[in-house]
Amino acid sequence: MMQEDASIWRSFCEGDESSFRDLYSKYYSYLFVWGCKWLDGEAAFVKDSLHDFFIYLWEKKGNLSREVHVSRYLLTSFKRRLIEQWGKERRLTDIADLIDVSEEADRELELFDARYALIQSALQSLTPSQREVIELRFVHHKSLQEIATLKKASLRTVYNLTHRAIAQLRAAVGKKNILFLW
Amino acid sequence: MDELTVDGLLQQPSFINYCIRANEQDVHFWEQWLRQHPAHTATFREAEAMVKSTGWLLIAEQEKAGAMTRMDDYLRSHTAKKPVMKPVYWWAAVAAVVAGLMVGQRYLHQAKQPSPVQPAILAKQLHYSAGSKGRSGFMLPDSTYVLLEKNSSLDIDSNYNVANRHVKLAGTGYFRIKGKASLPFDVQGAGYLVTALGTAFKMTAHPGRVHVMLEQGKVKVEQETGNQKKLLTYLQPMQSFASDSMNDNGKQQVFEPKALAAWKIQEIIFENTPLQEVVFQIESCYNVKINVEGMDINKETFSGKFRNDSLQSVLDVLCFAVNKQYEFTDETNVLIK
Repeated sequence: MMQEDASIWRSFCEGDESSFRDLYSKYYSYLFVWGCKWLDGEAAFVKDSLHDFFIYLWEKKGNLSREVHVSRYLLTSFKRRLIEQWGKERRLTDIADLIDVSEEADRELELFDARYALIQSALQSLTPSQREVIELRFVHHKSLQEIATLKKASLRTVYNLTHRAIAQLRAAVGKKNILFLW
Repeated sequence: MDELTVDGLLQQPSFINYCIRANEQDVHFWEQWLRQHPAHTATFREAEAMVKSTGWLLIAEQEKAGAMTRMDDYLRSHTAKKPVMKPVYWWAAVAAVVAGLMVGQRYLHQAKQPSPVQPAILAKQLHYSAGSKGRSGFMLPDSTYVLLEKNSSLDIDSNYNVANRHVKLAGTGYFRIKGKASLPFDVQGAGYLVTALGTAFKMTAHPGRVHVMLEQGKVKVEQETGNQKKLLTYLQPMQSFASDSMNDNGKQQVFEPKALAAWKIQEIIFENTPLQEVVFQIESCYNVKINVEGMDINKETFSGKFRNDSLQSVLDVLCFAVNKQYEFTDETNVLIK
């Protein structure tokens, strides 16, 4: 996996467009969630910044170091640019504190990576209808009653479905207790 | 709640409500609860992060296809460098041009989002055709541009851009291939096979005869009989190849760049065409590079008909319709903003 990353990265640095696309495709969701975490869900801003960030990488490809730890590099440099842009946009002065590169931040990267892997596999384990209620609830912020009205189902049905979906997520989370990392 | 776990928190609908800010009471309750139980902060925050991240991942997965399309658009349109500005005063000529041109309907539809084409889920074979009324220009799923002459048709395989880039032509078409070294692009027609190696070319295939004009790159021309392929020639830019019968080895010639350029601009028709395609089509027909700034070219469409018009005329009308101005930044680069 890491070997694969390293070779995609090198050929991207040498100007290969399809490696660049592969990189973007592979890391899109990962960096999207990472960005939302730092801006507490400013999804539209994160989306644009992520696009800009990859364009920046593409334009700078000739000057990038060939030997990097790809995911770590992407996480830290995307975070730095995202927060800088956010600071500019919001005219914030003290953003330096947010762009933390200490050991603490290193720990944060590991924790994020572990959490992301859990969520990703948990979501994959959901059935389409379970996924739909999770989407309505977590993305569109609907209450159980609103979902029932929307889906023309009884509150009980929606309650059961949501309960099972969240139980499914919990099961995936439970398998590897993330709190051991703390 | 002595042994607080992430799992325990996720079990409670009111905690989910707190995370997604769906219920004020629940938000208030959990905020207060956290103040009273500071020892559980880490667990609490982790559970909150799980819920929020799940939502964000779902959003990311919804956004991804659009983001990939947007990146492809960028890669396609921003490969040229930006040279020094040299303004051209477009408006001086526009009134005369608008009055004198054969412009059909010319209107804009705001916010018409073309749905991103996902090659991987393109399940059926596609058929494109241009009838007797006019030419048709379009883009294939891999962003290859095709200009089909009247009464011509093109069939593309269901596996196009996944397992192959194979198309079948009957009639005349101009192809500007989007480079993808791993999947060669080939056109089959009238028993001939033309394989492109990073290229723009025009091909005519009628039963028994073929004509190929190469504009850029390199193509390989082969004759197909059953499963047998016979190599006829490799063409260099501005070389053409014509063969009148399957028994003929064909004739290779050199042509004037003007000959192909004139054919391309004979007729260009846009009908509610997404601006992104309009730009690409103009680039292909006039061999220029166009950069558009300050508007989302995925969101607007353009309609208009041009016959043997100069690039300036086309740009005048286009820019008038989208309320922008253009500049030639050098001989082959145009900036619309």
